[in-house]
Amino acid sequence: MALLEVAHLTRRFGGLIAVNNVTLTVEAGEIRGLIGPNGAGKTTLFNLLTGVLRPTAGCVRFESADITGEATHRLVRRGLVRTYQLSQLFAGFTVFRNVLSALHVHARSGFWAGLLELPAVRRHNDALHERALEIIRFVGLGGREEEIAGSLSHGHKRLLQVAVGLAPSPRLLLLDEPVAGLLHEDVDRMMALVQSLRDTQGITVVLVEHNMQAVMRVCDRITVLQFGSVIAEGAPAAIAADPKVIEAYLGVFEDDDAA
Amino acid sequence: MTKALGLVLLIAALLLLPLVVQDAYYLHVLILIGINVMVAVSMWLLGVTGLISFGQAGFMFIGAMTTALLTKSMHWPFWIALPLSAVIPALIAAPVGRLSLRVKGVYFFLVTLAFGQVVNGIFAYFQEPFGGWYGIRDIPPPQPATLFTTLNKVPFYYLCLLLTLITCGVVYRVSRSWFGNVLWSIRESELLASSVGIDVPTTKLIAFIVAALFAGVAGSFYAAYFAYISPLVFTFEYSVNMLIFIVVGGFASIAGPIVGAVALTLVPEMFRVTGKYQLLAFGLIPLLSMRLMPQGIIGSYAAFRARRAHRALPRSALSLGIDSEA
Repeated sequence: MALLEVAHLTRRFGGLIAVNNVTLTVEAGEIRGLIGPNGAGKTTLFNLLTGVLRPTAGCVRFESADITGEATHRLVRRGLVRTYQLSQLFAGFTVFRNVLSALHVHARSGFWAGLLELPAVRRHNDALHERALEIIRFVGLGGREEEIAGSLSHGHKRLLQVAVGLAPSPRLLLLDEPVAGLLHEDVDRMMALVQSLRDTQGITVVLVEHNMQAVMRVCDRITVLQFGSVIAEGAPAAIAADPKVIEAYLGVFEDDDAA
Repeated sequence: MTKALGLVLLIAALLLLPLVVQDAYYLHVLILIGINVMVAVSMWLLGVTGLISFGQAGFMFIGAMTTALLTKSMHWPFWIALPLSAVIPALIAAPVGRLSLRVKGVYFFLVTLAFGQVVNGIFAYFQEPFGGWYGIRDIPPPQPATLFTTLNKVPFYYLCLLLTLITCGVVYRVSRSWFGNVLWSIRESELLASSVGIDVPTTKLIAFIVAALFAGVAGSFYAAYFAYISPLVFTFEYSVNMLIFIVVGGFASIAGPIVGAVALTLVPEMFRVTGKYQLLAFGLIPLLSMRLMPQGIIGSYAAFRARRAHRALPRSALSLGIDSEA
C-alpha cells in the first residue's frame, strides 16, 4: 500500500522554482533515501510535506487522505512526523523532559485537564513517563535522562532528535540529514537505529542525507532531486550507476563549462 | 512536603495579618500588592511561552469598567458584576489574541501595546457612558454595604486575598500541569513544539485569554475598592510595571511574579519619604536587579541554594559534576 503519494508538487519562491512538479510514492515499510546536490530542494520538499510551507501546486496524500497544506501539528496526529536539519531540540529541557514533551499527542494536555488534574488524568499522564524512558533506552541514550539537551554532544543530540521524532508514534518519519556532522562510528550507530525503526517499530522512513555511503547501505530505494525535479529513482545500486546522477553530482567530464 | 507546609503557614499568616496590622495605610499597601500580584501572575502565564503582553492594563480597564457600569449605572450587585468582569475581557481577548498572536516577539509587544492604548482611548473619548478623562466616581462597594465601608479596609483585604489566592492557585496548577509544560516547550522551540503535535496558536490563545480573565478580575476589584477609575490609572506604564515585576522577581516559576510584585510594590512605598525622587528609586531597582540578578530574585535564590548544597557535599560527589546552576 502506498503510504505517501506526492503528485505534481511545485513550490515557487518568486522566480525560483524550488520544487518542480515532483511526483513520488513511498510504500509502507520502506526506507527511502532522498538525495541531491545542495539546493536541489530536498528540505523544501520536506517542508511542503509537513505543512511548514504551502505548495504552489500539486497535492500530497497520506494513507489515501489529502493532506496538502495541512498544519504540522495535525499531521503529527495522523502519524506523519519529521525531524529538522539543525539540532532542533527543547535545549533547556533535560533529555527526559524532551521526550516526555514529545509524547504530547498521547497525553491529556488540555487547560481544564491541567487545572482540575483529576486522578485519572494524572495516572494517564504519569504512565507516559515509562514510555519516555523506553524510547530513551531504545535510541541508546539510557542513563542520560537528566542531562540538559543543549549540553549534549552533537551525536547525542542527533539521537535525541530521533527519540523526539519517535515519541508521537509516527507511521512515517521524515529525517532531515540525521547523520550530518557525525563521526564515523556515530554514523553507523544512527543507521542501525534507522533500520531498527523500520524493523522493530514498523515505521516507514524517508531520509534526506548527504552521506552517500550511509544512504546506499540503509535505503531500499533512493530518489534523486536536482534543481527541484526528480531526475532518477530506484534501488541504491542502480542509482549509483545512473549516468544522470553521476552527472548531477560530478558534472560532465568532457565539458568544463557545465558546472 | 515542607513546601506544602510552608504554603499553609504563609496562607495562615496572611489570614491572621489584619489582627496585627490594623493601620489603614498598611492594609491599603497590602491590597495594592494583591492587585499587582494578580495581574503580574496572569501576565507571567502568557510570558512562559515567551510572549509579553503590554495589553494587560487594557484588559484590567475593561474589567474595571464592566464592574463600574454594572454596579453604578445598573445597580447590579458586585458579586454578579465580578464574574462578568472576568468573562467580558476574556471574550474580548479571543479575537484580539487571534489577531495579535499572528505576530511574534517585539511585534506582539507593539500590537498588544496598541490594543491597550485603543481601550484607553475609547474609554477616554466617550464621556457617555465611560466617563471620559474624568473617569467614573462613586462606584458602589460590594454588598453588604455595612461591611464594605470606606472606613474599614479589613473586608476588602480578605476579598483581595481570596481573589489573589484563587488567581495564584489556578495559574500555579496550570503551570505545573501538562498544559504548563506545553507553554514552556513553546518557549524553547515553537517549530519543534508543532512538530510533536502541539497546536501552538491555540495554546497561546488559551494562555492569552486566561491572562485577560484574571486581569479583568483584578480590574473589577480595583473599581470596587477605589470606587474610582479613570484612563489615567490603566495606562501603558502600568503594563510595563507588571513586566518589571516579573523580570525583577524572575521568570523561572510562579514565585517570580509574586515576589517581584510584593517587593516592587513595597519598595516605592518605602521611598515615599524621598518625595520627588521616588520614581528615580523605582527606576534604579530594575536596573540594578538586571545587573546583579539577571535571573531575577527567584533565580538568584535558586543559585544560592544550589551553591550551598554544593558546598555541603563531600569532595567525591563534586567530581561527579553535580551542578544545578547551569
